[in-house]
Amino acid sequence: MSVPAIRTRGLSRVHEGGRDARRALADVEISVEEGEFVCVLGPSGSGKSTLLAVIGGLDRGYQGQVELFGEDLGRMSDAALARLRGERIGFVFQHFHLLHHLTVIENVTTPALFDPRGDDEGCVARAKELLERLGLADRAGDTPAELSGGQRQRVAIARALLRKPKLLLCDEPTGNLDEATGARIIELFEELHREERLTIVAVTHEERLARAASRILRLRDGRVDAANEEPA
Amino acid sequence: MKLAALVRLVRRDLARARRALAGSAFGIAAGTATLVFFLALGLGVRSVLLGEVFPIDRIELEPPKAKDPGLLGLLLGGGGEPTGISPDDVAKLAALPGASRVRPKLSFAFPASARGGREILGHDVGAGELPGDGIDPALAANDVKPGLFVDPMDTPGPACTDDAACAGGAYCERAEGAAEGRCSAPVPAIVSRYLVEIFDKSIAPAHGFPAVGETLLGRAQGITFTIRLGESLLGRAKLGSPRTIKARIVGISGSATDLGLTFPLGVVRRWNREFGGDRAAERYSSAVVEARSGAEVAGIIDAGARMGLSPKDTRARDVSVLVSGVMALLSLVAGIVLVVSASSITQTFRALVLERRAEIALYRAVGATAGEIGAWTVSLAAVVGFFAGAVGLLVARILAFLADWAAAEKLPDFPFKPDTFFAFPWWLWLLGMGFSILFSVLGAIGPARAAAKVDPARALAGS
Repeated sequence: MSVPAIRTRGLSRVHEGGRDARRALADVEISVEEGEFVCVLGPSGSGKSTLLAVIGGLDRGYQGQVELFGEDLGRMSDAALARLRGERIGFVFQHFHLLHHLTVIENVTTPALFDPRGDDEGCVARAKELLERLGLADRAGDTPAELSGGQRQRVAIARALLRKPKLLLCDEPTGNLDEATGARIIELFEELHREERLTIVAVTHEERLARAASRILRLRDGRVDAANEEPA
Repeated sequence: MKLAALVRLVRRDLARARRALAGSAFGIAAGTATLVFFLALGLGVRSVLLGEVFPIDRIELEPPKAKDPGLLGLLLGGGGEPTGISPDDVAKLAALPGASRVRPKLSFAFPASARGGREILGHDVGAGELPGDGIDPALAANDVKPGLFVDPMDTPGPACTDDAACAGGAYCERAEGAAEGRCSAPVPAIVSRYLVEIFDKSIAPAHGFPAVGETLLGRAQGITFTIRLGESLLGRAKLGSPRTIKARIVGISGSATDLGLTFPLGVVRRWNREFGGDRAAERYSSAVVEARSGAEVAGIIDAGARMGLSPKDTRARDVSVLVSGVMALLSLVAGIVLVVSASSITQTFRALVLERRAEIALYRAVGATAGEIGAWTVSLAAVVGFFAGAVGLLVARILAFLADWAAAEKLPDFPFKPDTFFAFPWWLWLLGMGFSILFSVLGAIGPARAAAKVDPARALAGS
C-alpha cells in the first residue's frame, strides 16, 4: 500500500487574537493519494487557506497530526521543513506574489536561491523550458508590471514548478483572473495533472475549478463536510 | 543557501533600496570618520610627543643630586659630590624584568668650552661653557651612520707630540704629562633635535644666524669644533691641565643630551679620569633603561626608586596619560555617534523588514529557512557597514589631509612642528572598517530576528 501524499489526523487550528480566539480548522481528517487532483471548496472563512498553509508547512500552530509523503511535519525542524517545501512542494497564490523588482526569469528562478544543491545553468535552462511551455518565452526579460493577470499567474506557476515538486498547493489560483484567463489556467492544471501525474490540491470557492479536479472536499466552519465529499 | 545566492540577494537589495540604505549608512560613515580621524590625530600627536619630544619606551634614571653644602660648606671650599651610579647598579637595572637594555651615561666631570661653526654660520661662534656627556654608541645607532660615532682611539694614529705632527685634520691626543700622544681623528659628537630647535627658534633669530635645519646640519656634518677641555668661562678643572681637542658633528639623535654635545662613552671616561679622577670615570651620571614596552616603564621607575634612583624626566609618562585620556574621550564621542548610527540602521532595517513581509514569506514558501532569512538581513547590514566604513575612512583621510594642510599654511612655526599631525597605521584602517561593520550588524540583529520570525502563512495572506 502506497504512502499517501497528504494525511491529516485530528487537525485543528485556532487563531489567537487577543481575547477572541477563532477556530479555523476543527478535527480535519483527510488523505490525498499521490497523483490526485483534489479541490477544496468552501465559502470565505471556512478554513480553506489555513488548511493549505498547514499542509504546506507554512503554519505550524496547529494541533493534531499532518503527514506529507509519510513525514510528520510536527516532528521536523524549521530547516528540514524548509527543505521539504523547497524540494517537494510548489505554491501558487491568488495574488501571485511575484517580486516586482525582478524580471520574469528572475522570479521563476527565485526558488533556486535556496537550493543548496542547484546549479545556476541548469536552473536557468529549466526556467526557460517552463516559460516556453507556458507561452512566456518572449517575456523572460520583462517585469511583472508589464504582464497581464493571466501571464503573471503563469509566471507564478512556472516558479512553483522550477524544482520539480511532487505536490502543487494552489490557493484560489483563479480568484484574481477573468473568466477566460481563469479557464486557461485551469486547463494548465489539468494538463500538469494528466501529463506529469502531479499531486494538486487547490482551494477555491469557484465551481469551475472544482470541475477539473478528480475529487472535491467541501469545508464548512473548519470541518470537512464528509457527506459532501465527492468525486468530480 | 549558497554564498553566490546570498551575494545575489544582497546585490539586488543594494540596487532597489539604495536611498534608504544610504541614509542609514550616512550615520555609520560619520561615526567611522570621527573615530578614525580622532584616533589618527591622537596617534600622530602621541608619536611626535613620545617619539621625538618625550620618548616613552625608555626612562633615564639618575642618582640623587649632590647635597647642598650650605653656606659654611661653600666658605670652606667643600661641596656636595654626586653619588653616581656604579657598574653594579647598572647590572641590577639590566636584570629588571621590564628592561630590555641599559645604557649608562657619563656627564663631563670637568669644565669645557667650545668654538667653531664657521662652515654653517659663516663665522665661528663660541660657547663659554660646554656641557657634555658620553653615551654607549649603540644608543645612537639608529641616528648615525655606522662607524661614525665611535671612539677614535679605538684605531689610534701614529705617535705625536703636537697637532702639527698629525695630518688630514687629525689632532694630537696627548694627556697632560704624557711624553707623547697619538694622532686622533676629530672626536665624533652628536646633538639633540631639541638643541637644534632651541638654536633655530631662539638663538639664531637673536644673532641673525641662519636657521639650522636637519638637512643643512646634515650637509655640514664633518665640520670641526675646537673644544677646550678642563677650562671654561667659569673656571678650571681641579685636576690636569687644560688642552684643546678637535670634535666633529656626526649627527642628530634623540639620545644626545638636550643641552650640549654628546660623545662616545669611552672618550668621556678617558677625559673624566684625566680631569676629574678615577671616581669620575667609573661612576655614571645616569642610566637610560630601555623598556620592553611603554607599560613596563612604571615598574622600572619603582625598581629604580628602591635603588635610590629617580627619573630624570617624567613628562613622557604625564604626556602619555594626557594623550591617552584625550584619545579615550574623543573615541567615546565617536563611539556614541556609532551607537546612534546603529539605531538608525535598526530603524531602516525594521522598516525594510516590515515592507518586505510578503517577500520574506515567499522566500520561506520556496525553501528558505529562518536562519537564511536572518543571514540575508545581517549580510545586507554588513555590506552597508562595509561601504559606510570605506566612505568614513576616506573622509577621515581627506579631513586629516586638509587639517595638515591648514596647519602647515596657517599655524606659525614652533618647535617640533611635525609634517603631519596624524598617524594612519594599517590596523587603524582595519579597526575603522571593523567598527563600521560591527555597529551596522549590531543595528540589524533585531530586524534580522524579526525577519526570521515572519509568519509566512499570515504574511502571504496579507494580514
